[in-house]
Amino acid sequence: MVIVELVTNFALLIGGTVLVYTFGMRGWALPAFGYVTGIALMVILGGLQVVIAQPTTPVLTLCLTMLIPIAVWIWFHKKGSAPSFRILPALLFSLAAAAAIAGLYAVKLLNLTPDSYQYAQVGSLFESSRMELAQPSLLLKRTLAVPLLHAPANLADHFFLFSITPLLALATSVILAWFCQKGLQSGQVNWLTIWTLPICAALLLLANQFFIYNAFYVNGHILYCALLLLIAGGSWLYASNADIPKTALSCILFCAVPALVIARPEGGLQAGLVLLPVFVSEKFPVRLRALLAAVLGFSILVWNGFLWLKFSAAGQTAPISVIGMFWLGVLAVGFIPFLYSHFFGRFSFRFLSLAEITLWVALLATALREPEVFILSVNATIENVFMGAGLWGYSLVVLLLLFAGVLVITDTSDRIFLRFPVTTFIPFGLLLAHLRDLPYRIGAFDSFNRMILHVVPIAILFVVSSAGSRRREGLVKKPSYAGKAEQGVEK
Amino acid sequence: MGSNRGIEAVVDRNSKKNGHIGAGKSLLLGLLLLAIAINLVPFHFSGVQTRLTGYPAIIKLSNLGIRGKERIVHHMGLYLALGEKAPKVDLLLPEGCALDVAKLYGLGRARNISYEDYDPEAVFTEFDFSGHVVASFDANKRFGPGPFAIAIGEGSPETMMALKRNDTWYIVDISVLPSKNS
Repeated sequence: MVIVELVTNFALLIGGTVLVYTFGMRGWALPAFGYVTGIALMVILGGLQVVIAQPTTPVLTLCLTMLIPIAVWIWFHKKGSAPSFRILPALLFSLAAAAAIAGLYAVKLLNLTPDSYQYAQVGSLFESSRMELAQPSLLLKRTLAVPLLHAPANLADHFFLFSITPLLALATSVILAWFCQKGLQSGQVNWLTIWTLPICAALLLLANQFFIYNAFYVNGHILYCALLLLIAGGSWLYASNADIPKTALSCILFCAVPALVIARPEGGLQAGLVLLPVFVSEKFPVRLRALLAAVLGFSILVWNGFLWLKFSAAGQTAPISVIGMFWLGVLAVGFIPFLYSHFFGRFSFRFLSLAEITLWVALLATALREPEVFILSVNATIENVFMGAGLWGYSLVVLLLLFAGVLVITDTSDRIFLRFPVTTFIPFGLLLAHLRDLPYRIGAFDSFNRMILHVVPIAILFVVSSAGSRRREGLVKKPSYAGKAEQGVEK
Repeated sequence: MGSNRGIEAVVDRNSKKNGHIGAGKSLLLGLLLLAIAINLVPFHFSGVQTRLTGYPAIIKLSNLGIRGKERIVHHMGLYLALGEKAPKVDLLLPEGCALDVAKLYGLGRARNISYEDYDPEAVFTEFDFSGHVVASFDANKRFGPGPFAIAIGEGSPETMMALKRNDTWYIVDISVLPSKNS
């Protein structure tokens, strides 16, 4: 079994690292980016195997995850633009990674709930190439990402890998620290701040007991967390012209978006929300925005089209959520020509306000239609977040206060990429309760309580990145005489 | 004179501004450290299971080489290999549940399972469909001590799940639990 753990993790690590390194990613967080990108790539390839009804053994998925990036590197190498690898650091890191994997296997920490067994069931069917037997309702609810993560365990007669989720959690905290550091480097901060604040950010995440619980839980929350952070943080750094190759950030975005779509049922919707600031920002080339819209649209369309066919083949009517998401995918693809229009360029940023207002209005409308669901959900969320029922301790309250304080006191133009996913999450999450016709409930295992974790790293990044920002204009007392003098000197 | 005053004012203001930035960062650092400390105060690994001695909790069906292998894979519902520490299985079913216990089709030793179309009444000592606890099964009595397995297959509700509570595994229809996980 430990061999399967080692082989799986190294395939993901090597594949992802070679890919992002080829596209220019460097620095101390390279293996963390490589690991998460490798997982995203594996999820995409596994999803394709399922959709096009190809043999679904994880051996093939892992081979492709490793070989495709190597082929990309060889192609660039032949063109003379591929970077060379440094053997010694790679070897030292490999030894450390092997020790970590073996250690995690030895301690065998794992959290299982009924959801975990459902993921195991789909993973087992994937490994035995019998995906046609998977119930469409099970695929709709549990999707593919988590089963694909654990499917290799079946090669050793097990259902779960012990090391993959804890390592993913560790990689998420490393990526968070790296995003913080790169964001601070583009502001006016000294070297001490550049190192201390990112370390604090990572520690704040690792000190969160619900994050630690999920780091050992066979479920998709940590994966979802990592992918959302990659998309939001990557687009923020891209827009803020940080000293990172934009090809590397684009590569990460292209891998993370489809993986997020098949990570959870609401993945497509949330990917669209997180990418909305990208679509309307002129800091991104139109071609890149169009490609991202195409990737998002086709991922949603293909996955939900597959589910629709699956329901039809089983003689069942596809749920409205599947049909709705399918048409949303079509809409995302149809939206591409508008990205090129002048009209869109002129009014683009107003779409963000419009989207946020629309979400709140939709929530208000559904709350009026189903007041009981709304009241019970809000009550449960308050109990979970503020009264300790959600296993968060005080961490969410403290983070919420920090987030609100930073939002009011500081101001930077590019922080919309981090602020928007967090502030839209509240109406979005509460709307989901109405879409599923089931109120949220009190307790740590309530869906919304667990979903809050998805935006926690982005909220921490938002707070820490404020150290490189300026104070909000309205809050700075401006003496008229000095201000005028300053203007004169600046001219 | 006026221009000198202006420049001095700018220098003064810039130094104050830098001071504000420095103070702001120190404040943020302090707040972050405080937040970490607050996180750690109530910290406990609540819910994280300590070392899983009885693992694997589930074993794979298709590699068992048992009779009816294809059929089992085809209709795989739930299959558990239960650890030595939990030799007792309780089947929890709601009143009026449609699950037919006769559709439990695999029961025996983990990794050495024999497929048997057994008579459930001969296996389970208690048998009562009217209540919540339907049947209890003591593997030690039937197979002697050691890990054993149980499978629920064809015809079982999709929501049948295995739950471990107080060192006992329960096969339970989660759709009727008061706090259903979604």
